[in-house]
Amino acid sequence: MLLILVLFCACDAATLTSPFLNYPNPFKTRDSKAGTTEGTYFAYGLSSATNIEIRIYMIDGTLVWKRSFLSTDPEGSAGYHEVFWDGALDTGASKRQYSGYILRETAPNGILLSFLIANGKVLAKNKITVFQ
Amino acid sequence: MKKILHAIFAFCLLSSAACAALIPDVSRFAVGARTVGLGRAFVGIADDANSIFYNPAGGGWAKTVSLVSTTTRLLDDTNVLSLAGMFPTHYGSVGFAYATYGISGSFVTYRDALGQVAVDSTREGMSFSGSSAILSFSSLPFISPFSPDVKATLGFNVKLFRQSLGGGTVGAASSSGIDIDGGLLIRPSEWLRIGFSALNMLPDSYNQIGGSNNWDSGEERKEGIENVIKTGIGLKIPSSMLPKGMGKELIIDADLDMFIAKPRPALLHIGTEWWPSDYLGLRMGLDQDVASAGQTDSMVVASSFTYGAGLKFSSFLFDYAFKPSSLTDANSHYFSISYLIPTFSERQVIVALEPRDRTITYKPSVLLKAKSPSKVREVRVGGAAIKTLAGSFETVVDLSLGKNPIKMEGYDEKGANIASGECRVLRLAEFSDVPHQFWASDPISHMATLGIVSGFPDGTFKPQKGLTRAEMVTLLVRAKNTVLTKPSGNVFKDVRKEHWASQYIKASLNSNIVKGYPDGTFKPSAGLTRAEAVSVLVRFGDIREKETAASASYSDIASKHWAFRSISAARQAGLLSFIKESTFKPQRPITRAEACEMLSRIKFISGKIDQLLSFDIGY
Repeated sequence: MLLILVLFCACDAATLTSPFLNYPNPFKTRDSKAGTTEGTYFAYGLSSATNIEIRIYMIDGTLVWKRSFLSTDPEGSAGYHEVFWDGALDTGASKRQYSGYILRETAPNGILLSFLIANGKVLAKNKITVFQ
Repeated sequence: MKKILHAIFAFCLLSSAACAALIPDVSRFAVGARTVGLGRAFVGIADDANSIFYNPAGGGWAKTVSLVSTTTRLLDDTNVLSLAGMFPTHYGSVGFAYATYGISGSFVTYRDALGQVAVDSTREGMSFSGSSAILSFSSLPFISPFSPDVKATLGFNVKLFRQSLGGGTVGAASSSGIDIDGGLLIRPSEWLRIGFSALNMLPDSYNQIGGSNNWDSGEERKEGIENVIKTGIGLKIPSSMLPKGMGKELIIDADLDMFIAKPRPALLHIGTEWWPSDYLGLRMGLDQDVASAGQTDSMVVASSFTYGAGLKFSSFLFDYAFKPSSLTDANSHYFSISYLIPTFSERQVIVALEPRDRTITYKPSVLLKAKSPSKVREVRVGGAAIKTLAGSFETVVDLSLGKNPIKMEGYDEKGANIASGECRVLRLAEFSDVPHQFWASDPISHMATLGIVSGFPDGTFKPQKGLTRAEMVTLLVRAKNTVLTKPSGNVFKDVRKEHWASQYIKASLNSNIVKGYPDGTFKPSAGLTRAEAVSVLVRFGDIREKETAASASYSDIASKHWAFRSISAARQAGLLSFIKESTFKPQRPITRAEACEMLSRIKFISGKIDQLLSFDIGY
């Protein structure tokens, strides 16, 4: 009975059909001052539809960007997906009026940590590099 | 002090306003395990070398050299190592800190033939590292402008940041920046501390002097260094103040972080540390940080509990802290080892056994008995050298009237000054005919000690003797510390320039304290009645009758009496509280004792007496 339950759970959990990576890496963040947007795409493949979350942490452990998708969303369905990030931080001092244009805080040069989380469990980890 | 705080505040407003990216301050996450266990609440307590990171003013209170080394691994990937040291000197505390972090294993990616993202295995992985070197100084405790009983320290840091990024398609890039911190730590009492600090105060718009992290390759890039203003209240409760059986010490700290130049919420940090014994300390804290709320430009305050413990063995302290993460397998564990070098610069104390510190005496000398540390071979008291025997010594010390700070300096066999002590003794004036139980003995003694009144050469004061006009004028002029000038001619018809009180009478005329008679005389030898004395003292003390008060007077003082208003005002001001009868007896000659009593109750004279009796001023 226990074996059947374990097998059932194992079958239910989504797995990666292609690795959790970002492209390009390294990449340039969106630059409000220059008006350019490069950003990066998080790519991953899911074996089955599942609730997923992509999180980005600074190296000091601060959660600076997070997006959640349900299994019914295109990003949570089975198959290969890409999610775009422009490099702007949700936690940044955003929308500051400075010299006539809107300034959003972006990730500084360096390495940040990104996590792909499925149903609350870390499915994969990836290190992304920002370099202007 | 207000101006300094305003300047710091304005400076911080300028900070971090120009850069689109902010680098994390290593001071935020490279702190010791003890600090993390306290929920990163440390600005108020700031009592070990970790105070360099949070409140540089903490070092000024240090009595021992301390070194703290910390290591941790954040998100199971970023290695962090820090070392902080604090060295107390006779001029203040000098500190240093160095913190470094590093992460590697980020790979260059490309799109394969199917258009999917893959790792470019032909290129090396990329790595990122950073460091911060801090030089710190904190003043010795000084008396704060708020109160003579409140002491405070000021401290500041100069910080040098460096970062490097290399490998992959980056090549090799590095950056550097400079910033400063300021701190203030106030101790209103032994157990209460209030701290303020402003971290990374330099505005990043002036990169010539620092405030930003500047990259030397790639695109021209200037990144800000996150600035924050911290305030904290710390309680350090010793075992003597804890209920019996509640351990050796309890520490509580609550800090608030404010981001002046950024639209971020204030963050709270609360921590408590309990030492049930001398060897074991337990900690728990609440730590807050901002976190993404899952939408663009949306953040929440994320709270997490922290836990920690400390083990003390001799001069070593081992600390551990645990900070849980919302990610599985990403909890953070902090380990610190501290080394405290005991009594490196801590001066040993010589304790006066007799008389005790803060003693009041009437004697012209005291036999000082004191206990000195065992290594002290000679003690110098007021220039006299005394050999110590078995850690104690005694000597006779002559006292002058008023405050006597008896300083004791202890020297070892090599002549090095290794110990000191102080005994504060107040000697009050005493007269043979004024016993201590005499009703006016205190005001007479206080006024004589202050030099406002004086006795007679035979050691008496003659408290029941009447007061002449010349004597009263002399007393008032002395009370006001008026500058005396020798009169060039006669002051009055009956006050020749050779008269013993001519200088005082002239000064009182100039100050409008007294007037002469219409016939051009002063009658210096005439006795003063109570009514006359009260009238003069009310004018001297600028005492006004309260308009709303009922006429509080005596049965023998009719409202038509020439001194009625002065007597009423004096009674309302408490000058006449020594009169217990219902009559005032206005024609009765005023005595020296009564004059002292009334004068001692005039506001600015009572202020002088309060200062005389205070052991916190003038020693």
